[in-house]
Amino acid sequence: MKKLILLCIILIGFKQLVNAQQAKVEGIVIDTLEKKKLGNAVVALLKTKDSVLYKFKRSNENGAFDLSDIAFGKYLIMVTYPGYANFYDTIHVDATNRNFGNVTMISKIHLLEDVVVRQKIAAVRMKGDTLEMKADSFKVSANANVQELLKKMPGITVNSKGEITAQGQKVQKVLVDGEEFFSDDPAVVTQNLRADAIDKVQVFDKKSDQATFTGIDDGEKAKTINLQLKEDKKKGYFGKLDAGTDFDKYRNGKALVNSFKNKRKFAAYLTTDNTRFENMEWSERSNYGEDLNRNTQVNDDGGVSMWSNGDDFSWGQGLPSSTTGGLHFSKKWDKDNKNSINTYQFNDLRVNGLNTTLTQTLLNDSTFLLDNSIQEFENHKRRNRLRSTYDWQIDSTSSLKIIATGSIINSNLDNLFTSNSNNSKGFNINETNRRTTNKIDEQTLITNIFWRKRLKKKGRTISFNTDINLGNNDGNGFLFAKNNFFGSTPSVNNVDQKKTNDERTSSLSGRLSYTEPLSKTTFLELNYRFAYNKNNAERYTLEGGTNGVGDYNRIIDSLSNHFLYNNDNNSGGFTIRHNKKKFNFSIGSSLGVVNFDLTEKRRDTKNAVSFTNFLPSASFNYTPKKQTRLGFTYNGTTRNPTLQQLNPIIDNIDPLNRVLGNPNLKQEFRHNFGINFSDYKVLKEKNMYVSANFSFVENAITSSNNINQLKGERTSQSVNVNGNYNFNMWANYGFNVAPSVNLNFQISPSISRFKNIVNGIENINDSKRLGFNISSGYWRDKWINYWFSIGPTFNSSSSSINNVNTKYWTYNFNADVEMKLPKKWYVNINPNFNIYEKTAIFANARDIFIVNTSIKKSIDKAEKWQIAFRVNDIFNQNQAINRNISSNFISETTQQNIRRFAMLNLIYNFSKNGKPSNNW
Amino acid sequence: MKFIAILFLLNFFLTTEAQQQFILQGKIDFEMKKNQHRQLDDDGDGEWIQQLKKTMPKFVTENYILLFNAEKTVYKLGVENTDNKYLWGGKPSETDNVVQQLSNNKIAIQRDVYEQTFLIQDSIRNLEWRITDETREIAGFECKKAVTKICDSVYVVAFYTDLIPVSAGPESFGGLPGMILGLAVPRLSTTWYATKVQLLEPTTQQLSPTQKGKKTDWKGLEASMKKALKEWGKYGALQMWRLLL
Repeated sequence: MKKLILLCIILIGFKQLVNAQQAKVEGIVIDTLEKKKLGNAVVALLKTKDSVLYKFKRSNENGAFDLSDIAFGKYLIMVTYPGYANFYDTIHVDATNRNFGNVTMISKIHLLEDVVVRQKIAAVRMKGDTLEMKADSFKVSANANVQELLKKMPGITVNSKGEITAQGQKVQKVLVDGEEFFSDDPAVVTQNLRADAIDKVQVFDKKSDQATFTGIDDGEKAKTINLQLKEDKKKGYFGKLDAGTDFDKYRNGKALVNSFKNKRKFAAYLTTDNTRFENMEWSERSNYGEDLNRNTQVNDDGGVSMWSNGDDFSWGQGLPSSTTGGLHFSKKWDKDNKNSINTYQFNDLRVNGLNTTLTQTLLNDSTFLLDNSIQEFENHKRRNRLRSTYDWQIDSTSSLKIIATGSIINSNLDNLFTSNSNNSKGFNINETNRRTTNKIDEQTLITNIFWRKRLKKKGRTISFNTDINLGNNDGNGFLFAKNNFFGSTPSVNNVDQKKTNDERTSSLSGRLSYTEPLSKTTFLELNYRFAYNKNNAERYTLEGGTNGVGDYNRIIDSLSNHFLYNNDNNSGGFTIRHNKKKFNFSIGSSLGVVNFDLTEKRRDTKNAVSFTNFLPSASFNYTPKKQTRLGFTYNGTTRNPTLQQLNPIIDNIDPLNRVLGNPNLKQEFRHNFGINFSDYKVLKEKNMYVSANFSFVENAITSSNNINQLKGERTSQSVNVNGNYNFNMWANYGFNVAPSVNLNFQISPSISRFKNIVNGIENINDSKRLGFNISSGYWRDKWINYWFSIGPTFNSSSSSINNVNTKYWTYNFNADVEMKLPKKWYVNINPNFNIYEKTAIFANARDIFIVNTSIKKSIDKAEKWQIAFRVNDIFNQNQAINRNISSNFISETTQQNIRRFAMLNLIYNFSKNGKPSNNW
Repeated sequence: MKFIAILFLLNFFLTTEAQQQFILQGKIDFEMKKNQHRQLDDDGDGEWIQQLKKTMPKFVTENYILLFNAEKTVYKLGVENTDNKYLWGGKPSETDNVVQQLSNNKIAIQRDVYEQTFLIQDSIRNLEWRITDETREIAGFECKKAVTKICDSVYVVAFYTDLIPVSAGPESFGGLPGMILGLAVPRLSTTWYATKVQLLEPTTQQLSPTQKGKKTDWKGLEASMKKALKEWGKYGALQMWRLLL
């Protein structure tokens, strides 16, 4: 039987305390029906203006409460007790008005029935009633937020504070897609969501959760608005036009557009540039299509690695002139479970260049040869590439991804090479002039299929990854050479030949992997790999006409061949991983057999070898603290001799360098040891990172060179040696010297030993490098940002063969300064200085000071139009220098690059409902 | 000690006994649920965001427990959820705990903040709770909704019950006329909901966990966080709010 319970609160007097401005509220909470005093009832005072809790107290076992030290003012008094209706009233606490009097309340159940009755009348109109309005039918301005949209809807008003009233009642909740905790403040939601993201606006009365639970309508309903988001939040476009010129020979232009609708994206671009190889920025490449050279990998632990493996079309040395174009179409459907991405790309690149190389070859009897060479090239390459990706999330446990890339590359290469060699006495011993041309047509198709499934047991997974590649390569070229040998028996060698090369390759490889949890912390991974490669290559060398009139119809047998080259590789392996809280380790190995099979069809010779590969690996990681990590790794790898090393294809392009085969060549085995330590202190703003690697090689494959000192000819053959090793370390310590200004110190030593054979004598080449670096950066959203790095590096190399020591320092300084000046001026200065100390052989100190600078200004308010002026290489010194001192060859190569120019650009950015993403 | 699990079915209409049974001591199990993908929502639709969303689960849940009596509460991580895969170091620390000494209005928090373990000793935070009419049932208890703000702008929604007359709750929250059984911080896409309330008497030992760390107070913690995270943009702000809960 239901009892009506009367809850009465008797407030006995409001006493004002002696010291003015503060009062006391007292009372007793009782249930008059049961004649019981209610203990533990909540008596709370709320501020009337915002319902903020001011003070509360629980009544004692006698139902008595007293709230003291109450500041004068208006309050809402709230008394609650489980199962009883809440009691509210307003009271005014001050010196004069302190008599609140007795209050009689209706019990909750009584109150309820009353409300239910009243609600029934209203229910006819409201019951199950959801008013739904289509957002698109209300016209709002382009960048309007939801608040503006709601203002336009009938029956809804929004006041200056952002409070919403619907059908005469204040809206208490705004849900987004039915979700409550998008934000608790209706004003926040409506101001931050864009109107064009909304599909429907639904207005309804949400029952309190209690009513839903009891099934009895307690009348407590909250006027609620639900904002149903569009499936496609986006529909619009953005793009960029950029054109620049130096009013002489340099120019660049870019037109980029991306339009999106629903889950479809269409992008296109066209660029032309003769100042850079790659003229699209990193972010532009992903915003306006798909960066076909970029790899993204997300590890199981959420770590993201992203790298771009550039190709001939994206970087290089020389003077480039490029045109690129692209079309991109992608679409997602079936709740994003299916995703199709299609990209077409066109590249046309011309590069002219000039490389000069100075090489010193150290010989056994404290003599040497000095070579000077100049290479001029003019290359033209064109590529059409199409890639399609289909990504299918089959169900919650399995996924399939297929990527197919087809390309057609046409190249025209023209190389002019001149060199001369001098012996240590300064006599010229040979001279070469050679021109090679080659026209290559290449087609490739690369297909990758990846399937992965998680099985029922936690940690049990199976995956299969396979690659199917097809390639076709046709080359046609000429070799014109004049080789002069001086000395006691001078001779001249003239070559005029046509060379053709026709190669077809196909390969199939795959990896099947299965992971089994052995326990909660131990996992076993089993894998099987296979690879089959087929290669069919026909090379012909044709003799030119005797009178210099080329008919090129006589095949030179010694320089022509037809190889069928197959190899197959099968291996199986396992890895055991053990994960504990503070450490984890893994140990594994794989074992396999690789068979090489080579047939020369013209001579009908066969050659087959097989090797066993053994690849052990182990790792150990220790994490004593959250931001501190110590790790060790070991792996052993086998490297098999290539068929070129065992039995080379005879080639006469460079008669000064001949290669001999070595059928007794053994497999080499490399041991790699690594250790790394990192300690990152976020609060103290300090970081330390040390990594060191050591590797040594058993039966290292190296070269044995026989150098004819009189002619300067070299004959090389691959041989096995022991004792090669390599050690390198990199350590960094960084900290903040002032707020947001970091300072980093780096040291990077490396030592290596490389053995080769020179004229039958073992030469031990020991190289040492010691690099220092100091860098500092200041990167905040202020008017100036900078970053700089300065570092000297000491290089040293000694060859046992004739005790030559080469030592020199290089110095590098790099900086970047960005300034945001008033009136939308942006200034960027980017100096890059490289200083190479002179040595006995590199007689010229090479000091290269490159400074690039640019000034940009937005010329309209919306920053749609910009003018940019940049000066590249202010001091006109740009060239690339490469020194190599790691064996008995010491060389320095200088490559020509684009130098000073000044360019004026006009940039226009356009968009509707969208903008390029800065986050790749 | 007796462990009495009680099932509460709030039936206002069949209450024959006028006097309610109030819970003055016990153990509350909380489930913390965090939407990890929300953190990535502003980062666009790039290839790596898409892959990251595929790799990392949308929600991670943790089990926390709150032991309490009328004077003191202890809040800490319960059984570790080994199914979780955390985005960017979102793994909670197992040694963190919060001790609220209600009798003298003091709070002591052991909290791992990156490389440093802090011991925050201060008065219980005086938050301005706005009480609303809304109610919700959590773990069988009728709860009233209250809203406050921390760090000037971060909204915190709490649901408290009259039936547990202990002014405390998960993390460092409290100050309401009853125990907080539900908590939501929309900006952190995180909610805490009680899943079970057990009536038992926590031992003195249970209520006095050993606490250690570099001593500081709220102001000191906020200052060192601000200094370290100011350059981290949006991510830094999220981290700071999370560590100042």
